[in-house]
Amino acid sequence: MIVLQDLRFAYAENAQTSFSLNIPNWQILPNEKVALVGPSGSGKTTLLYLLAGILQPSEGVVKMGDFIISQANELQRRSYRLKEIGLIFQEFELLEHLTCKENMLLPMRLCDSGISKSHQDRVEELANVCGVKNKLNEYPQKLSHGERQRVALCRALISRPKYIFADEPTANLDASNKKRVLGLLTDYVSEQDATLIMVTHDVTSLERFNRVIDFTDFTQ
Amino acid sequence: MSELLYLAWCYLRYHWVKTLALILATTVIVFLPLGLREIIQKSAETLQSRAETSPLLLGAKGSPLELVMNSLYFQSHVQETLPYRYVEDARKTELGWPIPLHVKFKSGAHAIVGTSLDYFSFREMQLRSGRLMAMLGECVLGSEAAKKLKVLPDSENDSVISTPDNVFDLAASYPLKMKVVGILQETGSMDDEAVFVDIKTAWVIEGLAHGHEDLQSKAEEEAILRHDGNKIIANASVKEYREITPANLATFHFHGDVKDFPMTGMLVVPDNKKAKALLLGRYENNDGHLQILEPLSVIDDLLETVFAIERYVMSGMALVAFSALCIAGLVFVLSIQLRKKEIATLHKLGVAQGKIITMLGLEIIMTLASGVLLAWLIAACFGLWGTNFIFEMISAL
Repeated sequence: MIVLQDLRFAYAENAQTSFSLNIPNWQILPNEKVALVGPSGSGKTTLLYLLAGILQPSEGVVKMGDFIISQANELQRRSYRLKEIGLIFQEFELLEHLTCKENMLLPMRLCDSGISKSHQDRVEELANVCGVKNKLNEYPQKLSHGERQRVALCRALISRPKYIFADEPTANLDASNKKRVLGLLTDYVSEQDATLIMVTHDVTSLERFNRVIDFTDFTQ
Repeated sequence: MSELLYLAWCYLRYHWVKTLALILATTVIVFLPLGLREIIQKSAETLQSRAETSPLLLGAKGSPLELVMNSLYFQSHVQETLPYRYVEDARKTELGWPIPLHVKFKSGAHAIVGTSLDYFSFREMQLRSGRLMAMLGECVLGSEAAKKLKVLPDSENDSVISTPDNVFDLAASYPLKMKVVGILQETGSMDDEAVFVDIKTAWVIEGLAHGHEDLQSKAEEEAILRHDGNKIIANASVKEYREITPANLATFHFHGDVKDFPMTGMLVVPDNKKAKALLLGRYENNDGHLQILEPLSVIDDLLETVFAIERYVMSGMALVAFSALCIAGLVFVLSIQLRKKEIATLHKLGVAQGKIITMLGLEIIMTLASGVLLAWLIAACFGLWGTNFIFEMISAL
């Protein structure tokens, strides 16, 4: 369960933006699929980064299960993120010098556990489900947008994370790829009892979510 | 660490052109001083070891370095020669053991060394096959010369031909075909590259002796232009022999007194220290036409100059290397700037800062280490095979 208590975040005084985010008490339950909607600049991505521990709140508490990520140090937050959180970005953010397979295995390589046979099998399994099995040895540059996002999805799911945070993962995809990626995400959440929080502007996909949070009122 | 190493390798592999360029640049920066040091060290060792085993060297007045390079390393030409009678003179002193040298001609790239059989005893050279030269026109090959001239051990009737001085000069000496009678064991010195002949054979190549058809026979009367005392002047139809065989050996004869025939140098092996001092005194107080040298001191003087130049070159290279390393550093910094997005992704995924720095550091280390390793390998090869290079360089000076 994710718990947020009196969360406040403002960029530093010398930052170019005067944006600040204020969120009252929230709870997001396991197996819940939450969509964050709202205009650009309303703080949706900032909230994802606060939840993932990429940013630190100015005030308030962010609890991920028993782990209070807002009070953890940088190293602890990174370690937690690498193991427990699957992040998906709008621009895919695959490393161009790694093949699709190497990109998928990247979080495992950077964990202290290293690569095992079970990780290799997991890659095969995810690639098969996401329809990119024949692209495993290709570099991202040679892939279509839809394929790249599916590879990024595999990378997010490789460590079987409890939380999936997706920042407009379907924004650059055509209708069929959009449907496919969303289907894969929601299926994973159902199968693994995970929590999905996704930023989206796509109103047609909102019916797939348990809860939709409009961000219009959270910023100043 | 192995995973980070693998990721660093993936980056270098993907950007192989950039990586290769950086590796090659590093190789050049490191190789230049390393290779120069290696070749100078190896050459110094080779030059000194040969000079150490050559006690005294007598030659005509002129450049001491030229004389040493010619007599010991069969490189360079001496401008002045000394007459063969000095061999007899030195022998009469009973202070040492004279070995004549005539190093002027070549067979391809290999020096033809005219000498006496004493040379082989002095240098403690052993035959791998065959025998030493016994007759005019016979030769013995150094091991490398045999390989390069494709003369196999135990092959009879193999021959080598001397290279003419000047192919456009019709009056110059013609090439002489010499029968190979033996191949020497490898010595690891310049002797391996040489073609050894008796000094008289060297004189034949020089044109001081020759063999031709018998002019006394009536059949050749038409070839005789006139008689001049004991001399017979003939026209160009008289056939000169370009190979010495048992059949024509008797027709070979020398024009002039052998004692006046030239040597390019003469090794003198003194019997003891006292004899050495006496020989040095005897030939230093001559009429000014001779010089007697201790080759090691000439080589030491040469190396002193070489090392002084090396120090200046090294200082210059250090500055160039520093500048090049600054540029390489700039390339790495700019590359990291260009990879900001990739680094940000790693941060967002949760990779520890230390791991990211280690990964970038490993990329730099792998590139630089590959360059250094490659430079070291090339320098080692240069040291092994580049010794001839310094001889050629010195000869060209």
